[in-house]
Parts: sequence; structure tokens; C-alpha cells
Amino acid sequence: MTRAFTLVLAALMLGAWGAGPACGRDRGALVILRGSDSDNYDPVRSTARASGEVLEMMGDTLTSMDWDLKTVRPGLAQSWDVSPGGLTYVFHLRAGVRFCDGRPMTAEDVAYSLNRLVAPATHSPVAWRAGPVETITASDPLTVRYQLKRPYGELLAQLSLFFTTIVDRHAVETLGRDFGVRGFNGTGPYCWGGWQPRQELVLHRHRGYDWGPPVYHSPVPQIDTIVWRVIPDDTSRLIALQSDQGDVSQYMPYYAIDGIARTSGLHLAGQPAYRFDYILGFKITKPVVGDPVIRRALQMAVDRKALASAVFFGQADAADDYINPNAPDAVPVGVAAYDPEGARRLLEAHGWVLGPDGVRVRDGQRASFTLYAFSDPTDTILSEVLQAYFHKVGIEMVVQLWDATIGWSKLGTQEFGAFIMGYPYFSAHEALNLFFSSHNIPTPNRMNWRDPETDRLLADASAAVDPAVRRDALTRLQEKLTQSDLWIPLGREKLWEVSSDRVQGVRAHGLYGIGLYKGLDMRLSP
Amino acid sequence: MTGRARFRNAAAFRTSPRAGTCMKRYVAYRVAVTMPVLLGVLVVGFLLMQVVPSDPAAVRAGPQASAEVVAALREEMGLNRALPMRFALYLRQLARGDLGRSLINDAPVATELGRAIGPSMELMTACLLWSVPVAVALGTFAAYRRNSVFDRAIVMLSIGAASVPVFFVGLLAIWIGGFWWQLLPFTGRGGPFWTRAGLASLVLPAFTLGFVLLGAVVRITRTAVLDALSSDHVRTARAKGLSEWSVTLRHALRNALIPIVTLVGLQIGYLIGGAVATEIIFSWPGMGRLAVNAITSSDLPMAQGAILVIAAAFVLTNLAVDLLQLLLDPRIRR
Repeated sequence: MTRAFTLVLAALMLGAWGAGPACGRDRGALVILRGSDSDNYDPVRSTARASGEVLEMMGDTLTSMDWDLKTVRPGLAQSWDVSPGGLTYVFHLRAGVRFCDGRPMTAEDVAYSLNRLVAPATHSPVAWRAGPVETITASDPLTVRYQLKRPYGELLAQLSLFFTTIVDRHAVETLGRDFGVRGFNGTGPYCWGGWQPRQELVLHRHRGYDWGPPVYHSPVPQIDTIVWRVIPDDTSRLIALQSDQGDVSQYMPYYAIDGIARTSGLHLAGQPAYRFDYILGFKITKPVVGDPVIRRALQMAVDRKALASAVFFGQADAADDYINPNAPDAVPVGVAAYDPEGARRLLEAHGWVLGPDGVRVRDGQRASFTLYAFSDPTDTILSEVLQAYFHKVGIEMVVQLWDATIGWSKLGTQEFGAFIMGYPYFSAHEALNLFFSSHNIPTPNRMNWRDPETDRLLADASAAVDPAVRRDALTRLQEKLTQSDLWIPLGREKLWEVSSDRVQGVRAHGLYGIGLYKGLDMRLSP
Repeated sequence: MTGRARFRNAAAFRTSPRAGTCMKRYVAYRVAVTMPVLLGVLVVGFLLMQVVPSDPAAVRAGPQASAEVVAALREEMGLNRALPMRFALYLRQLARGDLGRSLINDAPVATELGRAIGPSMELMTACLLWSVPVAVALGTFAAYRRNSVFDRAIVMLSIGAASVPVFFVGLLAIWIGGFWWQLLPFTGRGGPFWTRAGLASLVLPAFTLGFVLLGAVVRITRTAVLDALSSDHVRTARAKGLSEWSVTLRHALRNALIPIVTLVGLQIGYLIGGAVATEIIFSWPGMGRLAVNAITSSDLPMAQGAILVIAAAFVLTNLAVDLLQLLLDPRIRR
């Protein structure tokens, strides 16, 4: 036994010695740390950010998005023409684009990839992003014709998202169900090297790639190997960056950001145009929260500045509107200001009198409703703080937190009165259409907001070819929705990319919450 | 009867034809008993995953999917079939040795489990290889020097090891070994243990997991050795003039092994599936993390497969412990 123990100890010490400083990592590879992995890397099957951040590097889209997250730039399409009625888009592709296996990319590949996204058999949860497609066809090897049934003003922006990544038909058909699991063939700056689920995904530089979007200084990738490594624990991830076991991460806990800013050897890159908002939504067909007076009082009961500071450790901006002012077509309407005394008066004036247990009552109805939220740290703290705010004006909110296992299916039910949700978006129209169109009841329109005028304004905005017409429709819609107090905006999360001294050129992008985007300007320090 | 005589008798018993038949019967009985247990695990595991009010289709579709898309996915994933039919299909698949495919990434469950079981076994073995000998040595030494300063220090260490949460030990190990000394990696498995990177990456998680096990094994070893030291055969050994160290190691510890083996055996099952905190802190791609991920993403076939493997590990370890006790304790064989 003693001998065996000595041998084991010696082996472990040898391992430790062998590891040495910097722990034996490959110094030529850039290690990006994140908290979770994706279930697959097929652009039409996965909606996870973890999938998108790798797909942005492995693939390209017809258009790209500038750093302001508003301006659409060329991608694989170097230019496009739009018909006067906005029904036909003709994309002119770059010449000389190749897949990772060396095969030239043609318009047939583009048409195949986009048709695959919208095909009913694919059951893609994001097919709607491609708009009301009539046909997508290849006119010649470098021209794609995108024909719509109705005008869709957001098409070019939607085509910059990773869901519309152009893939190799041969790879899709060869790998079948394993496409994006065992392999991938795209035209992006980095190529699939290997994936160990829940551990790491390795990418290699795409030799010959020089067609990066014009938003970067360099159209060519600068790094030979990129390792996307999963470290689920926040603290381990933070220490890994500090101890040279990782180079870049956008997944740092809120509480650590101020400390990171003061830590030598670590650098923060922010993105002021980032849009990832937290909201509390009301299911207006339920008792109590169906009363506009209650919703207005709840709106007035919340100190949004304090919320951003306390819950998000200052890593969120207070939100006074439904839509981030940086987003296209956002209008500063302003929800009701923090005024708990005013909220109490409003409730009293409308017959909601304080009961003996501190909860208001009207016609035998207690001012009480149930909130569904996720049991993650942010939702949990938000729920508790909001519960306290609401209690101060005499309204009871019963909090029911759900594990991610159950949460999304529970949010598809009619059981709750309110819910908390965080979501990324890039324009007012995208967010409002997704969450307030009556076609999307019961989910993602979890408010059950069924309003013909809303649907009409959304349709007008969607079909508008003239930006002024779209903005006018969306302005009226934002005013109407804000007046109806369907949401309480809770905070706008900030995006930070944290990097070590080993890497230069890190910049936070933030399209669909993806920090590094294509990472073309990143390079390892000499 | 002295300890030496007992073992001589036991050896004679092992070689006798009657004892051989008894042992075979006992082994056959224990193996037969595991079958209904595993079947029970299958049924309970399947039903448990069905009663959880989760919807894998909603998870896969994501937060922005419409109700129609979720419904279509539910149909495609076979979730609309009746419960008995799903169970029957599951059993038919199992009979063919097929654990099905993941609802989330469509990968074969057996492949995914195969990927996770290796790292789990590696971590468990490394943990046992350092912690059990150390714990047994410390526990025996504490019993040998009972009521001394060493005894008290070892008892305090064991209580501390058993009381400190595993995540705290893990973070401390990362802080010292990874950050302060920058000596050892802690960001996942570097490869198989026979490679330099693999061995280095194994050190901190194995230390963390083993440290938690250490406390319990030290305590039980000390108690068992102390019990054995007060028994008749040990008194006889002392009367024969053997040294106290020899009595402790050769007579007391040998008899004390039975409860130690039982405890370590039970811990093995836990180490395969229950080392979730260690696996998360060190990003170790083991069974615990796989099972938790499967459950939190409503991946029913994957969760059922993981439950089955973890349960089988428990059952088989218990079987091995029972058989080992058969060798260690002649009384069981009678």
C-alpha cells in the first residue's frame, strides 16, 4: 500500500512539475472562456448565443453589421439592389470566396442555405427572421434573387445574423443529423477543428480568407488557432483569466467588473451600443394585472436607477423606455416616473383600499398576482427587489422561480400574471413585432396583447420602404404600448469583453449578444 | 483465536468444496438481486423525467419561438406519444443496446455517456489512489497514538475535511495551485492521464475530491482500528510479545478493513455521479456535469441514460464491496 501511495504521489508531483508555469497550455492558441456550450452548431437549429459566437467565426452571412449595431454593411454580398416596391432583393456576391474545404462558394450555396432555413421541414424556430419569402434563387454563380411576398424592411439587418450563415450543401447532406455536431463547412475566417461537448471547441485559421466584413481593419484572421473553452463556474473563469489560462471572455460576473478594471494585466472593452434588456411583462388577460390602474401603479413603484445599481452592480443602465435609445427607430416616450406616493394615491382614487394585511382590496379582489421567472441569480434578485417595491404600494406579488428546465414551457402557459425576461435585439421593429404581434400569442407575446391597431402599425412598419414611414408607425406604436404599461423596463445590460495582456485588438461588438463577432482584428502579443 | 489463526482458518475455509459452493450461491444471488434493482431504476428514472413539468421542445425552440414551432418540434421529437408507448419504445431500444439519441443535439446517448464515463473514472481513481491510503494511514496512526497531540490534530483535520464544502476546497486549490503558484491547470481536462497535460490537469480536481473523502475515511479507520485494538485477538497478540506497531498494522488494521471497504465502496458510486461541484469548478467533463446538463435542458434520453449509468455504478460497486467483504470476513461465508 505504501509503495502504491508513493508511486501515485510521485506521478502527481511529476504531473505538477511537468505542467510548470502557465500550466503547459499551447502558447500559439487564443483561449476564449465562456460559461456554457451550445447543443449544436447548425445555424438553423440553434438559437443559443453560445452557438452564434462560434458560428460567426466559422461562417459568413450575406450582410454584416457595423459597430453601431444599426448600419448594415456588405458581407458575402458586396452589393445589393432593392426593387422600388421592396419585394425583390438582388444580391451580388463576392468573387473568390471559398469554403474551408477549398470548394468555391456560389449563389447556389446561398440559395440552398437560406431555403433550408425557411423550409417547413426544418422546423427552425428562427425561420421568421428571413421574412415572408416567396422564392430564393440563384440567377447566376454570383447573383442571388430574394423574392418576398410582402415588403420586409428589416431583411438586410436580419441577414447579418448567424441564423442565416451560408453553409456547404455537400457537408449538410453528408453529415446529416451530425452537421454542426461532428463537423461544419463554412466560409468564415476560422474553420472547424474539433468539438468536445461541454469542454472545448477548436477552430483553425481559414487559409486564404481575405473577405472579412469592412467593419474590421483587417479582412484577414490574425490567429492560427482559437480554443473556445467552457468553464461553468464564474470564479474559476475569473481566476483563469488572471492566471494566464485564458485570454478573452465576455462572461464575467457583474460584481467583478469594477475589480477587473483596476487589475493590471486585464483590459475591458465595452460596447455602448449594446442592446440586451430586462423587462417585467404583464399578462393583461389575468385579474388584477389586467387593470391598467394597477399596472400604472406598479410602474410608478419601481426605482429603476436603484435597480440598475443594486441588482446589476452598476453593470446595467436604468431603462425608462421599452426600447433602447441606441436601437433604430427607438422613441424616447418614457414610462411613468418613480413615484410611490403617487402610486398609492392613484390606487386609492380608483377604489383599491389597503386591507388589514397590507394588501389592497377592491370589490373583494385582493391586489395580488403571481410572477414567473427563472431561478438564475439575476432573475432571483430582481424578483425579490420588485416584490419589496410593490409591497410598499400595497400590491402583493407572489414569486415563483423556475429552473431553466421548466421555465420556458411555463412561460408558454396562461398560469401567471407577470414574468421577467432578458433578451437581445437590434431594432425597435424586431423587438415590438416579436413580443406584441397578436400572431405571437401565447408566446413570445406572453402579455396576450391582442390589438388590431398594434398589428396594423407593425405591418405598416414592416412593409415600409421609406424609413420615415416606418419610423412614424413605430413611434405611434411605442407611444401606445408605453401608455398601456404592458412592460416595466428593468435595466439595460452592458457588454464587456475582458482580455489579458497576451491579446491585442479585442473589441466588443454585441450583435445578438455576441461579443467578439468575427474577431478579425484580434492578435496575440509578440 | 489469534488473528493469524483466524486468517489461517479462513484460508482453509476458502479452499473447502462446501465453502466454494456457498460462495458461488452467494455471488449468484447477489448478481440476481441487482437485476430487479436496475429495472426499478429504469422505471423510476423514466417516470421521474416524465412527471417533471418541462417541455424539451420549448427548451430546444428557445424563447423567441412561436407556439406553432414548439408544437411542430414536439411532434418531431415524439413527445406527443402516450407515456406507455414511449416507455415501451425506450425498453425496446434498450434491449437492442441502444440508449437513444439526445433530444437537444441529436447525438447518440451512448456516445455522449462514453465520453463522460472515462474522465469520471479517471478522476475517481486518482482521487481514491491518493486519499484512501493517506486517510487509512492517518486514521491508523491516530488510533496508534490515541489521545496524543497527533491524534487530536488528525481528528481535527478529518472533521475539517468532512465539514468544508467541496467548492470551497476547490476554489482554494485553484487559488493556490493555479493562481498563486501558477503551477497547475484548472480549466478542464488536458487529455488522458498518461499524457503530461492530462496528468497535470488531474491533480487539482483529484486533490479536491479526495480531500472531501479524506475526513470520513480517517474517522472510520481510527474508530475501527481502536475497536480492533481492544479485541481479544489483539490482546493475545500483545501477550505474545509483538510490538504495538506490529499489532496495530498486522492484527488491528486488517480487521478494521471491513467498514473501511464498505465506506469507500459506497463513496465510489457517489464519486462517479455526484462529483458535480468538483466537475463544475474544474470544468471536468464527467458524468455528474453531463447528468445535470441533461436534466436542466430537459434532454430526457440523455438524463435517463446518465441516471442508468450512475445507478448501475452504485449497484455494481455495492456488489463488488459485498464480494470483497466475503473475502475479508469469514463470518459472512458461514
